Amino acid sequence: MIEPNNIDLTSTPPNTLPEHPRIIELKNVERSYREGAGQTWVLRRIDLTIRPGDFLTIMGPSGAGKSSLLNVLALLDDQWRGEYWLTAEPVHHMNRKKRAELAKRNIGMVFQSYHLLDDLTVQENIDLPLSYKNIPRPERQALVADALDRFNIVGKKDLYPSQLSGGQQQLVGIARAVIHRPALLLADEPTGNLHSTQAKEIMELFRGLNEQGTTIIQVTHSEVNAAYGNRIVELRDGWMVNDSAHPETRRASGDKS
Amino acid sequence: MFVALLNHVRYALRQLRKSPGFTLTAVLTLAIGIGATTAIFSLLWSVMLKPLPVEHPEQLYKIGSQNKCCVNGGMQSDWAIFSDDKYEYFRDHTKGFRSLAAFQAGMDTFSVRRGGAGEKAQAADGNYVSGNYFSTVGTPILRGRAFTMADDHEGASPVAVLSYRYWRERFALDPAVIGSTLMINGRAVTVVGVTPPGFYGVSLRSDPPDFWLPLHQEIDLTKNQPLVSEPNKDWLDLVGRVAPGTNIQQIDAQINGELRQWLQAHAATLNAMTPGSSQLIPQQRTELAPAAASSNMLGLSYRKGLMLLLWAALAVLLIVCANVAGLMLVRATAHRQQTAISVALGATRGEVIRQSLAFSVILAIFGGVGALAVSYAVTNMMLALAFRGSSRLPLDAAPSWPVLAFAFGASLITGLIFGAIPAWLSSRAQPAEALRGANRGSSGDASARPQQLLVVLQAALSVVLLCAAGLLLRSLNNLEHQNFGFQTQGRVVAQIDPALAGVKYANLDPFYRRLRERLGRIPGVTAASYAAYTPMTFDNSSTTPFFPGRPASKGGNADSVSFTSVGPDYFQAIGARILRGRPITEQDNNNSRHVAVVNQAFAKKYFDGDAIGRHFGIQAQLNSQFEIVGVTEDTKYNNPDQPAPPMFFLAMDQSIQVAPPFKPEDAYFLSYARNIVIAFHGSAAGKEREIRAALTDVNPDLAPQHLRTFEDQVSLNLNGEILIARLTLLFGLTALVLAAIGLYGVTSYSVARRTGEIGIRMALGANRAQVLRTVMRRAMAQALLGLALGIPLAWLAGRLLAGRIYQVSSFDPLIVTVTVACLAVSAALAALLPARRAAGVNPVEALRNE
Ligand SMILES: Nc1ncnc2c1ncn2[C@@H]1O[C@H](COP(=O)(O)OP(=O)(O)OP(=O)(O)O)[C@@H](O)[C@H]1O
Ligand SMILES: [Mg+2]
Repeated sequence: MIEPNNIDLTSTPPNTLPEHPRIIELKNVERSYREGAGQTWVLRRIDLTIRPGDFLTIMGPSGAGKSSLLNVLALLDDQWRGEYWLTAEPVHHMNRKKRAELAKRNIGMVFQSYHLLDDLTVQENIDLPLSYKNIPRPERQALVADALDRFNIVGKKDLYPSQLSGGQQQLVGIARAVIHRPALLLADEPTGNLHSTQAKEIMELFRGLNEQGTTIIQVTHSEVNAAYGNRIVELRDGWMVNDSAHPETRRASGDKS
Repeated sequence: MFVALLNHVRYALRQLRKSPGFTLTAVLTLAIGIGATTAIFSLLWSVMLKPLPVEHPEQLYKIGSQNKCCVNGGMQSDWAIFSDDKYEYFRDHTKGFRSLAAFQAGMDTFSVRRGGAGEKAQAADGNYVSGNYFSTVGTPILRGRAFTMADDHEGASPVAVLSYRYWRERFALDPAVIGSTLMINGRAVTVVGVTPPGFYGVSLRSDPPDFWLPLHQEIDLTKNQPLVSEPNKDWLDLVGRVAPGTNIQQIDAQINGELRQWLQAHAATLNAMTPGSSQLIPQQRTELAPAAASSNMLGLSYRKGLMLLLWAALAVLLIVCANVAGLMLVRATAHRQQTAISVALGATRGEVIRQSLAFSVILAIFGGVGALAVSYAVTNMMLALAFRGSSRLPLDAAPSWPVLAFAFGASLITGLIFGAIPAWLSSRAQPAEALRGANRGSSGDASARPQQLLVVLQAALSVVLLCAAGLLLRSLNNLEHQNFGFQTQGRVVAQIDPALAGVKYANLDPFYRRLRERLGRIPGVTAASYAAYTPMTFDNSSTTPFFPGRPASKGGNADSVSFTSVGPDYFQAIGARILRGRPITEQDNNNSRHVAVVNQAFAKKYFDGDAIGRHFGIQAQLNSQFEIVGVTEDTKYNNPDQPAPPMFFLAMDQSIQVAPPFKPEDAYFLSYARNIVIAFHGSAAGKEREIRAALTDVNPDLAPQHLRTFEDQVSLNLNGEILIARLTLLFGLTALVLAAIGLYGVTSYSVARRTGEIGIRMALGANRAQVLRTVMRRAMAQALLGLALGIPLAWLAGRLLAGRIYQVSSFDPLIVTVTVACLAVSAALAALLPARRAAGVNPVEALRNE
């Protein structure tokens, strides 16, 4: 465990709850899509426990369900079954509005294609998550200025996303994801569109954030990126087939049939 | 070139087939806009622009640019109607005319019975014309022959020419009627011809004549004093045909000279009628004016209203253009990729624009075809509203060639207008950018800006139309519910013609007594009376009053006052209060002194309000014939939107004294009641049968020509106002709905385009309420902009309307508030659906599709 006090770049601790040893607990989570008369399963009986400060990598072939799992974790998806505790709160008992509230407080997201809003400046993009919270304007401005500073993009604050390189855009994407100091950072192939040098920068940044106490879950196809984390789980056809933290959970892919 | 055009057309048709939803919406919207405009044009055409139904109408000129009716004596200043004597003087002295014809400015009602058969007499309207009338105006005769000069003199055997409509409606097109004899006012008249369908004479009016009679037959046929032998009674419109290339100014000067010569020659008689009038002769003038415009009664009364409606319709059309342009923009954006590909493959900007224009023009033409149906329906509705109460309207809603041409032209222009914007925008497509797919869903609204502007424009225009409709409706309401100075509830007014029923002047007293007695026996009647004319019956008589001890007035219009003669209980029957003195009673007959009641305006103008016991007359020699015994409140008899002018009321049972040059018979018309009015306890509904029965009891031939509640009679006076207010409201609501559809379209479109952005925002913590609010805010901002633009425009429109609205300020806060509320509610409704759709975006899906 990393002591929040050790963080040098932030003045406020992230919203971790150190007395709870697990930030996320999934029990028997399942997700399927209705397809014509039948159903296709994209997540099957997922049991997963994540501790605060973990840097978890989800891997697996295309179509395995990685993004689907991330969407469940991000509380963007509502249509799963099973049990999900986030910071000890039972998500599965919550209504949509409660879930959105919970996500807003605890989760930041980074996307493969950055998903910056084209008609907002860098500064405004970063401010976006704050604008959905009841934070007074001066405080917001201070937070944004601080983030621009931390991510070394002060000079770009008035530019539009189209005027930035891919790496810079992703930098903004990350700045935006952590501006409200979430305990949990979710990243779906954050370097998928980047050169290896840019990718390395991003991963270093993640490492730094993780060291300051942010729990990170990333999806990647890259072994190099995976090496930045401390734990790897592998999905295959919706099943969790491997977990480096629990080598015994390895399942045969034949189980499902 | 042609092949290229054909290709464009074919391609456009294929595109239209491929998107039926778009095509249907656009065509329907266009049909509404073009249809509304075409309907107004169609009426404008038939009322104002259509040439007269005669040969070479441009060669016909009328003497006098005004429309006057029906009989006038004395000076006119600006002359427009003339006596037969003056007509013959002009006809025989003016060189410039090929021929000059005369026709009666008004019309007479006759009793017509088919000769021989034991048929009942029916009333019909005839028009006296000179013998050269048909040859001068240049209409062919459908059957039989026209009049000749030989028909037009005293003692000629009586003949008539029927209108086609009358021949059809009364005689079922029976060919045997031509050459047969009709009993007209009891005299045998031979039908010599029928005019072609569509011929209504030279003056366009809502009820054209049923038949025409030669001028000099008036001597035998009229039930009144013949006018044709009166040199100083002016009652004829004069219309002349000139040769092409004739110098009109020259004839004009000649006519003016002749007019003054004639007047000079009759100065002595003129002075005897109105002292001092010969001094006015140098100022008397007239003007030669194109016949079509100057004898167009309908055009004169409807021109302003129709122009107003044309503006309203054009506003609707503009909204439609904006609306369809918006749809086209959506389509163009959806097709951006395709356009970019064809530009990348070498299509020039010109070709892209042409294709897009071909598409929109074809769309507009489809709209134009639909518009014909809309136009037909609207025109029918307008005719029914505008000419309520008229039975022989010479107009119909069937589209004519000019109307079709207008619809086609309007479609073409509309297509070009709404097609040009998207065409221009799409031709600016940057192929590289579009192909790269640079406009990811997270892009902002910049591409929707032209559409938003169009929606703002639509909102603004609908605000203008709604405010205008509000003003007109309030004005109409004020007109309808004003204090007319009489009561409309529980009253019936009927138009009768005792002369037509054969009542002789000498028998009028017992006739009226019987009438009063019989009407009084109808259950529920509180008062029944009669008058030369009653309020709001489109009738008027005026004269110049003379007062003892005061200099005679000059006989100008300023001193002309209206008057009518009334029976006992008249004021009670119409519900007008007597403010001072007493009303006219049964005791006011030929055994007592001549009395009059005057209205407040009269008392104020001539006696400073203190009129009781004072005297006046209608001839200089008899300037104290009438003693004023009562003052009644100001009652409006004409023009609901104007204050009541000075007016007096004579007792119908008293024969009026006249001094030369007038003869006693000249005043007989004052003793014939043209209206009866009956007041009931409570409602007058359903009393028609009993009233008709009572009238038939009094005299079997006394069938009323009209029988209406007073409310209906008043509302007929407001036909034009009702038409304009209702149509403007219809247009305003159409505009509002179209603007709402436009807002819905642009909002839906932008929500669809911004699904990705919405997904991102939700992933970043935006909740659904916030998303809903954002979308609503954007939509309402457009409505607000529309208001910001529309309210000043509405104020301007109100200023332009100021002359048309009655007791409403041109900027009425209540109307503006209601309009704002209407726009806000419809904008909110229009935006709510797409906003809810936005709030329901599934972020997972939205982000996946990125
Ligand atoms: N909306 C949907 N409807 C139906 N099936 C879906 C839907 N979304 C995802 N799937 C299916 O779910 C499965 C898992 O998809 P997911 O996006 O989670 O895969 P992934 O592991 O992220 O793959 P990749 O590495 O290519 O991103 C796929 O088979 C996909 O077809
Ligand atoms: Mg994925």
